[in-house]
Amino acid sequence: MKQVDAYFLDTSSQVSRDWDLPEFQEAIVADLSGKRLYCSRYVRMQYKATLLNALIVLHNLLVDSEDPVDALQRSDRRMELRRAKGRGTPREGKLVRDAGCRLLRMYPSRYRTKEEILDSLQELIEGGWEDLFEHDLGTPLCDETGCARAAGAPVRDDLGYYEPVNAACNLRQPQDCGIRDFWNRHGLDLVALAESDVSDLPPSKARKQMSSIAEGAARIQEGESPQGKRCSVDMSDAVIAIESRHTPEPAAVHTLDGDFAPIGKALNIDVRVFGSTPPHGSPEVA
Amino acid sequence: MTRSDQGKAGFAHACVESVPAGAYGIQGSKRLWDLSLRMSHRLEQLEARVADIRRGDRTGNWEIMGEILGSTNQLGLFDSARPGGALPEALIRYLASAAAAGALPPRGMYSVAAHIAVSACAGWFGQIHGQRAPAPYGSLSALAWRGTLTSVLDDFSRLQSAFRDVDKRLIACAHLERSLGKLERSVPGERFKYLRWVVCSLRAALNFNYSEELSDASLRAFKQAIDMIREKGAGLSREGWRGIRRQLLRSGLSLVPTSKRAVAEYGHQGAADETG
Repeated sequence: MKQVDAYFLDTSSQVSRDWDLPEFQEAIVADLSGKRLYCSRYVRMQYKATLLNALIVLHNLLVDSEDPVDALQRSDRRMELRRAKGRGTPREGKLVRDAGCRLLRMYPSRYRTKEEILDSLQELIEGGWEDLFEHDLGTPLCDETGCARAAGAPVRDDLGYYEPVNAACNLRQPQDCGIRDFWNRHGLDLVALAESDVSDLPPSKARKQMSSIAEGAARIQEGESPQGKRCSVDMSDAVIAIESRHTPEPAAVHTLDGDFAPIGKALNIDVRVFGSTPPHGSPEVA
Repeated sequence: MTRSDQGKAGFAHACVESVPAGAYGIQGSKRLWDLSLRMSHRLEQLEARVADIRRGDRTGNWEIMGEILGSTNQLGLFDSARPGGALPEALIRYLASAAAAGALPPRGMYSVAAHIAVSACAGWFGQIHGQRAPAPYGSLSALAWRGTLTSVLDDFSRLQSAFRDVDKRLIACAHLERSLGKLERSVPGERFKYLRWVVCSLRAALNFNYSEELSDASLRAFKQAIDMIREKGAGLSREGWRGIRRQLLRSGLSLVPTSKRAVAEYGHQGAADETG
C-alpha cells in the first residue's frame, strides 16, 4: 500500500477519534499520528449535526428532569421507544449519547449538582465541539461546497432549551450555497459516478449506496437540483471524496465507513478505510 | 454589640458615608465598589503571605501572622469566617488573642490561621456586596468566590510541588478537583459563563484523565488556566475560554467522558449493544 503523509478526515473518523471507546480511539489516533490532517466545512456540517443533536437532546432532557438519574432513565426510555418504532440512530450519534450518559452517571460522586452537568454539556454545545473538531487540523478548512448549514451556532431559548440543529437540506427551501458550482466544476467526476458499474459489487449496503450515488449523479447531469436530500444524504460521501483533492498536498480520505471504497475506486481517489470491520458492528442506517 | 460587630459596622458605615446622600444608584454602587476593590488589594496581600507561609518561608512569620490576625480581628472579620465548620470559634479567638499577646501559637497553626484570615476577608466582602452593592461594570455580584479561589491556588501550588511524586500527585489532584468544584458553584449566572467554563474544563481534565498520566505539558496548561482565572476573573472572554481548552487538548488531555478513566469508572453501553 502506498505511503500516506496526509489524511482528509471523513465525519466517521472525526467523531471516532474523540468519541469512540478508548482502545479504538487510541488505535485511530496512532494511525493518524505523524500525518498532516485536513478537513472541510462540509464535514464540519455533518459532524455538527451528529454531535450537537445528540448532546442537545441530552441537555434538554436534563433541563426537564428532576435530577441526572431521572434524565438518564428518560434517555434510556427514549432510545427504547425509537427502537420499538423501528427507528435507529446512527452509530456516531450513539457514541456521543453514551459519552453524555457517562457524564450523567458521574452524579453525585463527581458532579454534585444537575447544574454542573448542564454546564459541561453547554460548554460542549456552545463551542467545545469545535475545539475537538479542529484539534490537530493543519490549515483552514477546505470549502469547496460553500455549505450554508455549516455556519451558525446552536440557539438556546429563554427557558434554557437548545433548538436541535437542522442539518438536513430542504429542496423546498434551498440554501444559498455553492453546490451547483461544485458539480459544474467537477463535471468529469459526475460522469464517472453516473457511469460507475455496481454489478461487480456484492449485494451489500455499499452497493445500494453506490447505486444511489450513480442515480443522483445522472439526475444532476440531466439538470436536476443537486441540493436538498441529494446533497446532504445521497451524494454526501462522493462530495467528501472529491473535496479531498483540494487539500494543499495529496491526501487520502480517512474513514471508518466501508461504503467509501467503491467511491474511491470510481473516482480514482485514495481511500483508507480504518479497520476492515468497525469494532462495534456495522454502522446502522438512520 | 460585640467588638467585631462594631468593627464591621464601623467599616460598613465608612463605606456608606462615602456615598453621597440619595445616590444609591449607579454612582453609589460605584463608590462602594471602589472601596471594596481597595480592600480586595489588602486581601491579595494576605493571600501572598499565606503563599509565603505555605512555601515554608518561616522568617519573621510571627510578625506577619500577628499583623494578619490583628488587622483581621480589628476589622471584625472573624465573625464572618466560615472555614467549613472545621475550626471552632474558640480556636479562632485563641489565635487572635495569641497574636495580640505576642505569644507563639503551636507550630502548623500559621497557615491555618492565615487561611482563616483570608476566608474571613472573602466572606465579609461577599456579605457587603451581597447586601449593599449590586454588581456594577460586569463584575461578580459577590466576592465570596475569592476565598475559594485562594483554596484553588493553594491546591494548585501543592500539585506543582507534589508533581514528581505520583502518590502525592493523586491526592493533590483530588484536592484541586474538589476546590475547583466549589469555585464553579460560587460563580453564578449566565454573565460569567466563560469563567465558569474554564473551571469546568479544568475539572473535566482532572476527572477524565488518570493523575498518573499527567505530563509536564498538562501541568503547564493547568498553570496557564489558573493564572488566567486569577488575572481575568469575571472578565474572562469566549476567546480566553477557547484558548484554554485548546491548550489542554494540545497537552494530550481528554476533555470528553470517553477517556480510559471515564469508561473504566462509569462504564459504557457500546454502540453495537443498542443497535436495535
